[in-house]
Amino acid sequence: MDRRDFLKLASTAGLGVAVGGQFSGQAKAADPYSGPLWLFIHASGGWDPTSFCDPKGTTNLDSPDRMNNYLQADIRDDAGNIKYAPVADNETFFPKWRDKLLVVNGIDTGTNSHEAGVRTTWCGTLSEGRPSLAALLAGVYAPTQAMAFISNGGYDYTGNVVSLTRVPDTGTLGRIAYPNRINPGDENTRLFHTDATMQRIATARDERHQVKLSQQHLPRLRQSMSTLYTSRLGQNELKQLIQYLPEDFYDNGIARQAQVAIAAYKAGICVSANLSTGGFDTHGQHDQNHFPSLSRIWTGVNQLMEFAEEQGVADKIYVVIGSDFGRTPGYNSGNGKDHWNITSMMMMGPNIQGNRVIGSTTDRHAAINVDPTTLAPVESGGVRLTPGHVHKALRKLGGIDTSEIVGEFALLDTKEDLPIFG
Amino acid sequence: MGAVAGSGCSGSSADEACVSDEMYFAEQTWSQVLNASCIGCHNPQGIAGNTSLVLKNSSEAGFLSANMEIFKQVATLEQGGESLVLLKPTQKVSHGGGNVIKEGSKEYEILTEMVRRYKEPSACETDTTAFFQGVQLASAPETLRMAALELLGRLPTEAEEKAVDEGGMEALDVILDQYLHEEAFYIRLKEIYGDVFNTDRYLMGEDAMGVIQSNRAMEGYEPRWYNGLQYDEALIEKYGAESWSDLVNTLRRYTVQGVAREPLELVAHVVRNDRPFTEILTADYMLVNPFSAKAYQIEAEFQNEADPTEFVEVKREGYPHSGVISSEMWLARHPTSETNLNRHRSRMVYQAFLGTDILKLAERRLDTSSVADFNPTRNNINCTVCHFNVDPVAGFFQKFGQVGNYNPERQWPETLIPPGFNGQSMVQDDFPTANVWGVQRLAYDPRFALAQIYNVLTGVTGQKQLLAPAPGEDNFENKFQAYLAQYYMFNEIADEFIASDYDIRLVFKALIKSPYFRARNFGGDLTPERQQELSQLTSSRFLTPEQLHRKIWAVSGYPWREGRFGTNYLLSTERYKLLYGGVDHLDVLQRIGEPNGIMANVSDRMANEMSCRSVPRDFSLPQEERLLFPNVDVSFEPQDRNGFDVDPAIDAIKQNIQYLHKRVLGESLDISHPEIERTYQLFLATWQEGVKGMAKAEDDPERISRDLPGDCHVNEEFWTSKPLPEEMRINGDETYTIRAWMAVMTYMLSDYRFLYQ
Repeated sequence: MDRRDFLKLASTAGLGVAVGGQFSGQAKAADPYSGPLWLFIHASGGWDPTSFCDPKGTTNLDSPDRMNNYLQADIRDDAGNIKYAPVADNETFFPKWRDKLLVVNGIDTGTNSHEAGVRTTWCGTLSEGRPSLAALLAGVYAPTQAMAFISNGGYDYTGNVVSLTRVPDTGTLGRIAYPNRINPGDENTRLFHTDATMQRIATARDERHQVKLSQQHLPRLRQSMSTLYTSRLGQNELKQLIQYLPEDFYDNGIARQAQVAIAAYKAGICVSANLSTGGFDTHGQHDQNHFPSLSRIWTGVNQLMEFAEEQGVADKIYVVIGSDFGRTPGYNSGNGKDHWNITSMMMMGPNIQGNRVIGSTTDRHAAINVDPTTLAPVESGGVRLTPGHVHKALRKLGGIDTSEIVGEFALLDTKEDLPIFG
Repeated sequence: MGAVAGSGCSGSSADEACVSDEMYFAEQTWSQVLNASCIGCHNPQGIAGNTSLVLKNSSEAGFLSANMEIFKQVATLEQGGESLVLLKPTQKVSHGGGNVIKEGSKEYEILTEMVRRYKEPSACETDTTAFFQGVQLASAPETLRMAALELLGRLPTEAEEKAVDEGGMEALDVILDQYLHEEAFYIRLKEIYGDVFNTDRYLMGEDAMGVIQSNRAMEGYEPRWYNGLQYDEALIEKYGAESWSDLVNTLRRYTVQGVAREPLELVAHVVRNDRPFTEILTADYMLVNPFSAKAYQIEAEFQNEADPTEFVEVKREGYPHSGVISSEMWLARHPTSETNLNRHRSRMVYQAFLGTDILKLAERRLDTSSVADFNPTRNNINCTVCHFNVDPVAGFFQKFGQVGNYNPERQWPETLIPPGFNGQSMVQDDFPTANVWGVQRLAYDPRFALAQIYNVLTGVTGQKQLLAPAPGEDNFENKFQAYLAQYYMFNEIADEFIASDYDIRLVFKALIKSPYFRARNFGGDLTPERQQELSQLTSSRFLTPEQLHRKIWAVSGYPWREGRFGTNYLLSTERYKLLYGGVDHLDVLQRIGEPNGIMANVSDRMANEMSCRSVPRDFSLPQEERLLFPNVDVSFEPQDRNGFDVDPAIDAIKQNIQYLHKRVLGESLDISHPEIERTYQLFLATWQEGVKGMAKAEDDPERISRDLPGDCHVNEEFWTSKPLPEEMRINGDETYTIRAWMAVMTYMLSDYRFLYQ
């Protein structure tokens, strides 16, 4: 039985598709995916928003308490409503994307632990055992696709709502896309088995699976069996990926990771991807180590959008950029900056109104609360922005906030629904 | 299927009535009272952190036992004949937290009973098996196969199978002891601890040399000694190299192996020599092979100076050895900085050697942006929550630099929380050898034993230890029961481990015989509560690339690799190792535990390639030497030319299918079992398709060739490439039985039972 037949049968029978033990959606979820592609860029190590989208600067470059090694007067204002720091090639990014870009400053991650920070930034809560937003989107929309959720790092816990895929090297994909071809690159090659035999093997395997599953009662073993079974449902679509993979890949890691995700998206088998780049945990020599890492992100986004344009999918891509947490105000004795729980996130994509900044911080980068209705800063009362607020809004934007799966992972520690996307 | 776990320990009322003191403390005193009403203040950073009741966080290994003892110290204090733990919360005496428990309430009754139990300990013992009631375990022979593959990457021998068939679990115990002394076990042991230390990151390239090069000025090393060699024909011959450059590359590889593998070789060395496992921390020596000895410029004696696998103990002059954590590879893998001040190393120590994720302490909401205190890591609760634990242990590494260079003159900032452990401060005189002071305490902390159980558990099952559920968490009660069952079983194993003078083999054996390795099913439908309780119980893991590589080889007789001696598909990061969920110990540290679409394709390709490689080759061997087809030959066709069944052939084919189910899938099935019939029908239909296809006219596009695909031809002996005698060669498949058997092998090699443990 091929994937579509299985799903048709499951749909007729009113069955959900068991993925990793979760009943994760009805059969319609596994048709070739055609919704938007979600790219989550993780700046690993904890970035410093005061070096780009929440600039502070200083009035005295010799001051031991200076926030940054640039003057307040040099803060750039040529990106509409988005002010940015005059460092790290920022001018190649903010003016270019200002009309699409939404900046959320003054987000309180509530932690300065890397592991917890990465988790709360990408799943919206400090609690363990919650899937990343990328996994949830893939789990709702295409849980059985071969590469529904690609991860190159960051927070990729799936909660078994979807399988996680890593694609470290695209060069090996061609060989496994055609497992029955002796010479995978040659469509006229001999096969290991005739097509009829391969189909017969698959049928016997499926029948055996159903029998074994019906005899098994332990939840983990049922889950394992189901996961292997469903991972095979979308495996034929891997062939389609090959035709969309570019011949040349960018050198920039973010862009290269995105090229694979975009190719998989065009093949209808990818919903979301974590893209990751490191070098942000700059406890020593902050500026000289941190700025090149920021530049890598700007180059990566510029190139991935360029590739998306070429592929005709630029208007269907969401890009969300974040990090573990922020970095301390000012410099330590090693000219570094340590961990700080206040951070920023940036995002763009369909239905995100750009040229906007939500949230703000003091001149020492402490969060200022916002009015829960207007999102304007308030001197007292109001709401402190957290990753939970951002995620509640993103879940709604992604159309998954009311789905059954996401209901199992409600963000209970975030009470307010803030109109971040209007 | 084997034994049913928990039998004899049923939940009958008589058994339920006999609750041990420790179980009562966990289920009642901790769960219902201390966790709910007390620990919020009575924790090291809480407002009652300076009282005599300071409870441990659940992120600490063994926290229940520790808290039971801590609570006992206060519970046995009395005023007017009544325990302080009853007087304080009811505010009969002054209590900073006020009246938090009412006299006569359920909580009060629980505390009263606990006080009584402290005075008159119960004779009941904690029953760690009752929780598993109804869980069906793998039989002794099934466990034998699982253990052989898990520990050694091979199938059990016939003699081993016979012994266990006859002697059951007792015989298994003896064979496990033998397994745990085989050389292959040490490979697996290093693999398991490799995932803990991640030092194999230095096994590729020459980064290991870079690390010790950077420490060279202080230590006088000669890391790349091989580059300075003078041309010498004798050396080329000594090492069997093909040329001078080949020799230099070989020496470089051997040196990297010696340097990079030092911490993992120490683990194996300690076990191989039957030393207490604590020696992985307390070793006052390091290990070198003949090549890393040259890199470190250390004199050492070897039995074979050309053997890169020979490691011997050496001591470096003036260097404070402390097992793994003074290895430059471990130190470099967990580097520090002028501001990190060894805190990352401290965190790794807690994780690997104390089974405690120290960062979990910081997982409640903190607001460091509100910190305005002087020296906040000592004075602000948002910081001290971690730093009180982290900084004293960070002090163990005070004389080691960013990538591990030792300098006894290095100063430790006085503003930090002083070096120490478990409340004991280190005196200044110990500072130059602070790491040695530290390991003497780490190794004998009760959490060290538990940490090794956690490490081995993850190694053999792929699962992490269960975490105590947080108060208010969904299904708390069921999750807590599952947690307690594991907690007490592991405590029992830890006690035995310590009593055995830290024999790590005992831990392997205990876990392999436990339900966490052997659970195969549950006898009957599970109630929703049991579903929750048993939700994490598993004996099934998706095999790591390394394990699948060994299993393919063990079962089929051949490796899955390019050609004979080419790259192994599942072991190379440039092939499928990472795609198949493996780790590189550098960027990718988490194994993927469940398959995705790409991994499914990898396994399908493997199944096709290996059936092509192994089936014709096995048939080319004399019947008595075959691994896969001892009962049939290529001439065994199930039907004659008129379509009538050939019963003797069918019987033999089914016998061989029965044999393959056992060899490949580990299933012992009766010849009439439906799974045998399903596999036979696959064989039969494939054979019929082939015979019909081969009979078609030459110009018919649907005609099937009488030859095997080229890659499946057998003309040379596999390992030597020597041409085979004509009678052993196989290129054609006139009867189509070879390809029918290839279909069977593809079916089995891609089956759940093959891809999972």
